[in-house]
Amino acid sequence: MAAELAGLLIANAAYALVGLSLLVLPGWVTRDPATWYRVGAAYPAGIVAIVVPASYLALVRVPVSLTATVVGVVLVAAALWRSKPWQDRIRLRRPGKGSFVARLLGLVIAVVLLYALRTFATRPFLEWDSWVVWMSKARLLYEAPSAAPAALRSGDYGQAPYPLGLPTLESLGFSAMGRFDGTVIGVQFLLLAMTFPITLWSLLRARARAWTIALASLTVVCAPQILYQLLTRYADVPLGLFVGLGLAAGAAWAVSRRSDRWLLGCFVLFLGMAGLLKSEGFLFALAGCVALAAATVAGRDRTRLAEAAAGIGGVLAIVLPWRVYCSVYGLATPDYDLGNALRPSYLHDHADRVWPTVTELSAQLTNARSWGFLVWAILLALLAGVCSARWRLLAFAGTWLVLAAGGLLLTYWVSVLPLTSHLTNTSNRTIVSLLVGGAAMLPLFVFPRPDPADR
Amino acid sequence: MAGVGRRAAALATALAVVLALAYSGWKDLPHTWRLMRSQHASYVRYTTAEKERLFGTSIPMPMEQFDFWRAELRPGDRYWLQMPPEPFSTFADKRQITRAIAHLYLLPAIEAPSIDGATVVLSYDANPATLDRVFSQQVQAGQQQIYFSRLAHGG
Repeated sequence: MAAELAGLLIANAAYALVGLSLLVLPGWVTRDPATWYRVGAAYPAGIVAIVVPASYLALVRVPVSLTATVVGVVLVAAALWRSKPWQDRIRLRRPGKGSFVARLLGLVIAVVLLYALRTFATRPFLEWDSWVVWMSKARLLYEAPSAAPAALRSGDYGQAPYPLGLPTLESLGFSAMGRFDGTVIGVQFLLLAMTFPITLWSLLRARARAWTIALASLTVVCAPQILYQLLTRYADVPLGLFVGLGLAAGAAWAVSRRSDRWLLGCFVLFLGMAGLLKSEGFLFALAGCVALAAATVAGRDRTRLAEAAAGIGGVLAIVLPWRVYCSVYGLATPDYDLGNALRPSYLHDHADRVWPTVTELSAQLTNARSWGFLVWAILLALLAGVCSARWRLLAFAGTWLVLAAGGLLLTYWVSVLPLTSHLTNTSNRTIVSLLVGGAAMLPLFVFPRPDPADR
Repeated sequence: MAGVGRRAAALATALAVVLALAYSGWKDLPHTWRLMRSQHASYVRYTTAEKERLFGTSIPMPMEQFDFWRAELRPGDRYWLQMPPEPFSTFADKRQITRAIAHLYLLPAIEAPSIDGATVVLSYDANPATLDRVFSQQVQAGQQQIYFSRLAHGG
């Protein structure tokens, strides 16, 4: 197991290096120590930089490890050429200590996640969707890349319209480990949780207090439901984490009065990745795009409309090719027909599904045994935003939460699956993105730091 | 005055958010810790091979038959499963479960959509002699109705 684990960790270090290169290339991380806090977003950015092209090229039989190697080498070489680190010695600066509370909370998060490491390296995958859908697709991409596209389209290896982001990431992990190991790959999921607090701090640092970021992170990544669902190797929590990071970047950009393209870049990368992790991810990414447009319009700053449009275009450029691919090959889920969402007669005939869905999703969201008071904290944060007249932030967060929750309700409404079993099997998972997404924006509402442009 | 009231309300709600988060974290941490410990304790004694089969054995399905098929498969093989539908559980019949396990466990061998596109036939509770095909190799698992049959070229 040690060799497999070492291989997986080396691959993840490579993601961080590739992500750093991705941040260096547009000049978001430079020799200026004032930009170094952005390195906190390098690891998930590297995952996106590798997984997105590898997922798409896998559809034309290119092995994911080959794409990863080529993309990684090209990005690192280009960043080296641009930054020329050999020319001058980079003077490392002692990092700021941050507040005592933030450091204490960070320590607690680190201890809990390190304690969880042995569990993630030990527990095998057992849950139905885990092996019937996600692990089958991942092993198929790893062991039979030339046969994978047709097999994936057949629907025998998990539902055909499910996007390939997570299987590609797992498949890259198997390549790094040198063999298929459905147990050790669990560590990959824990690493996603580990990156959340660091990246969230990096994204919100300029506009939120370190201790509120740490507190929100602690509540999210140490929630029993988060770590338990990550142990199952389902895609819902990875989706929630990327949704949360994308929303944090978008919200921070929306409240900023000066242009901060690196935040917009992170919004594109993380919400784009969310769109490739699960079918609901597409909904959450689109809701994020609408929220960004709403916040920009609410800010009445026309000069930023073009930037917002570019950001929205970036997200769509990542997620739309998968929709086009599904449409070209006629890959549709038998679970629901989204066209029914536009048919008033269908919605009317199935209106009896609405109230049970609302009550069940509400029960899951407010389940204190699973999520503590997270949903109440999010709602109170919105109220704090109203009291402190943070309209742009409210426009962003409120639009996303309403659209995402409404979209989720609509998917249950138009589903052809029996409602009770559908809710029983999925409601505890589909709400994860709502909670993580809301929590990720929360530090901007509570005791926010003044805009750097005002300081 | 209204501004002061709004600022006070904002402060009060912000404090309420912090309390809600802090209480959630305080309450959740011991639960999470116990969960991680119990999950580790549940599986730490399993061998790697046992873990690889656990998703099947916990259904429960006899994974020996999949090992029997896997031992005969070659790289590039495409299999077709010969198996009648049999009742098994409320949400899937035995053939569906067998196919689902095979999809993951027998990789890199891929399931062929029909016998015409297959190189081998995997039989479970069925006799390949009924298929009217020519086989270049056939192995039976003891006296059970479990066979591995390699189709002869053009067979």
